[in-house]
Amino acid sequence: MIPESLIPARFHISGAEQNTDTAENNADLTQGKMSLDNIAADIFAAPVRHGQSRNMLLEERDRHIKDRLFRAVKIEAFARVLNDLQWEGELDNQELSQIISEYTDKINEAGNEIWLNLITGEKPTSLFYDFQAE
Amino acid sequence: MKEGEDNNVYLTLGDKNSDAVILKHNLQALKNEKNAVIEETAKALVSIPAALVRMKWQYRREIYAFQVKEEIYGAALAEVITRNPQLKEKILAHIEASYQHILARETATLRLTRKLADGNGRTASVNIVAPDENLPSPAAKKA
Repeated sequence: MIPESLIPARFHISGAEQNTDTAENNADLTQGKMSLDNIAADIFAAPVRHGQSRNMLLEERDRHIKDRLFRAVKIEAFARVLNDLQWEGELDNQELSQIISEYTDKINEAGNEIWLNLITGEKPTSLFYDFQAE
Repeated sequence: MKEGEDNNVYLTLGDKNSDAVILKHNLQALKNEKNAVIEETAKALVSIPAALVRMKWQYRREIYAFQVKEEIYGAALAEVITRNPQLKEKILAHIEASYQHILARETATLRLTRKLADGNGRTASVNIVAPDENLPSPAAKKA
């Protein structure tokens, strides 16, 4: 339903503190024997089997559910990391607030670029950051 | 009354034993919503192209708010990494671990999907502090 992973694999295992968390998550995933893809079949409205007529409205709805969930999960993950960095004292909260304020202005001002991209669908990834790059 | 039910569901999130119950509950709600949508589109009161255009605009407006918030936090993290290169690996690993954790919880409970479908899906926000001088508007409260 949404990508299994967000960050290129070469960055996954770094820092011993992450290891326990990752191990737990893996255990959860395998024990569950469930994936969002399995569940998606129950939630999505557009027929997926061959021989059934396509319904563009339902396909659009399903696509939207996926897109919205993926973005919400990314926001949750980013917010968690930013908050944790403050908690751990790695990041001064004045400095972070200033960074967020700066980018809030910048990205809101560039709102037309986001709109345009939502209409054209030209760039499927984010416009103002890129964690895939080296 | 519906509010109360929802609250109960959210309050028990930490309890792993109740995941199956929550999942069942949320899945049923999402299936009901799906069936309602299918029924509605089957009535075909409007032409499909017109409905599709309207739907796309409505979805874009909704996604816009999410994308702005995602871009702000993503760009803020990229900026933090630029300023603190020594934290790069740690931050990227933490992002991935958080993503995996949220994905696993979502697979177990469908909590976010349900919230978003119900239209009350306010996503998490970063705790920010007011700067010494001028107060900025709180970051990205839209989504």
